[in-house]
Amino acid sequence: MALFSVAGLRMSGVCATVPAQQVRNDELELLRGAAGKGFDRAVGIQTRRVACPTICASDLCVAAARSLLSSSGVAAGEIGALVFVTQTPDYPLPGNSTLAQHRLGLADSTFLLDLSQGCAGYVYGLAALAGLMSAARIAKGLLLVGDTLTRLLSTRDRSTLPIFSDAGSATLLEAAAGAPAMHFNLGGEGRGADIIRVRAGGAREPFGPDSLELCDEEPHVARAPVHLSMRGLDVLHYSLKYVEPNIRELLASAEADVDTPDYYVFHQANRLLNESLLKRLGIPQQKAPETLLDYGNTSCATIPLTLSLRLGHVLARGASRLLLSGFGAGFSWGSAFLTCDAVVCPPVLEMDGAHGA
Amino acid sequence: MEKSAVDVQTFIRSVESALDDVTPGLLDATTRFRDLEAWTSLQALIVVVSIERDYGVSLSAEEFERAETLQDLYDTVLERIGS
Repeated sequence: MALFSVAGLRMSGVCATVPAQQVRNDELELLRGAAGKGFDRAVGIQTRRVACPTICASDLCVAAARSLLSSSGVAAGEIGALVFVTQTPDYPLPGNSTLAQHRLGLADSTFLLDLSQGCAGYVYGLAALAGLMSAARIAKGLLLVGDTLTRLLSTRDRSTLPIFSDAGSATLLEAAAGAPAMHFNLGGEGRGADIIRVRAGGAREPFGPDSLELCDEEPHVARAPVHLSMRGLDVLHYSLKYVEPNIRELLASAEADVDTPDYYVFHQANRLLNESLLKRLGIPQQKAPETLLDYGNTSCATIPLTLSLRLGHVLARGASRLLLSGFGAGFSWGSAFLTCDAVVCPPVLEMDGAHGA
Repeated sequence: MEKSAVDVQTFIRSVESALDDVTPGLLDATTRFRDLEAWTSLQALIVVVSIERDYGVSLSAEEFERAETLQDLYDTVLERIGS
């Protein structure tokens, strides 16, 4: 069971970057008329951020990291480990971690790790970096988490196009003697691998002449094998089945209860799902900040983006107990329970096309 | 929740109120809900969430897709409450 805690580390900073380009869902042809009925209430996304072709997840994350390092007074050479979480890397290979290392000017002795994780990715990345830093006695580590999932969407798929959005983030972990333990609880169910998936373009189904062929799956849903597909009912069922017990188990192991966290920062999936989770756990809305309405579902970046946008002022000030919970492609899920104090939170950055790599 | 606390009429009314663009009284046990004019995968999500909220039962996609009429859906929910 991946239920564990790591002592002697603190989250000392977090920063996020979003593409400057905003797309309003009410301007989408796909949601016009009867087809859009119930969308606002069920999904709860009005505006999304879409990266132009010159901006990749690496660009968004590197910009966030630069801002965070300079605001924190940490030199690039001090970073001993870098974990990069994305499902939209610049290239099939090499991974984004070495690209980011080079652009940030990190030492060539840096431990570099790439993780392919979706909406649970922030928690997985945090757990991996914390475990790594603790085991290897690394004093400063950087977690870069971001995606440009809009690149994978069919413009004719109503089940994905109005939902996904782009963002990147950087989080700094530092060794701190006596810091309260960070607690993690991670899980997965590979039986749900096809619930959220891009079928073609990997080794199982290499990119070929048929990969771009659009196929009508149902009304308003046409996509090709290279596009992201998502089965909403399954996502809902898996999330309701696994996320609540995962959080309760984590809190119990940390000798806390549902009322202990000052804030719950959930992956921003859709309004109905997030409301159901809050209700099941009995968490008041004001303890669960949201960014869904204005920023959509930015995959692995929703948690750091929400931390940055909604809790930056709180985290900078004094001690807060945070429960972070991510769930999605895999199917995988994870939660983290940590105490944050004096976290450096530079303002969220906006990036336009001129700033890509 | 007790099995006896759920009757089919109450169930149908609760589905109806979840689908807020359906005229009250329009649906009955024989309604093939997928044939409703405004039915999309989004309505499926809305109904499944309303069942979860009202009856504490989270239906799997498979269970939901097996149901053709509201009576089928009601029977599935009842089965889950009973198990």
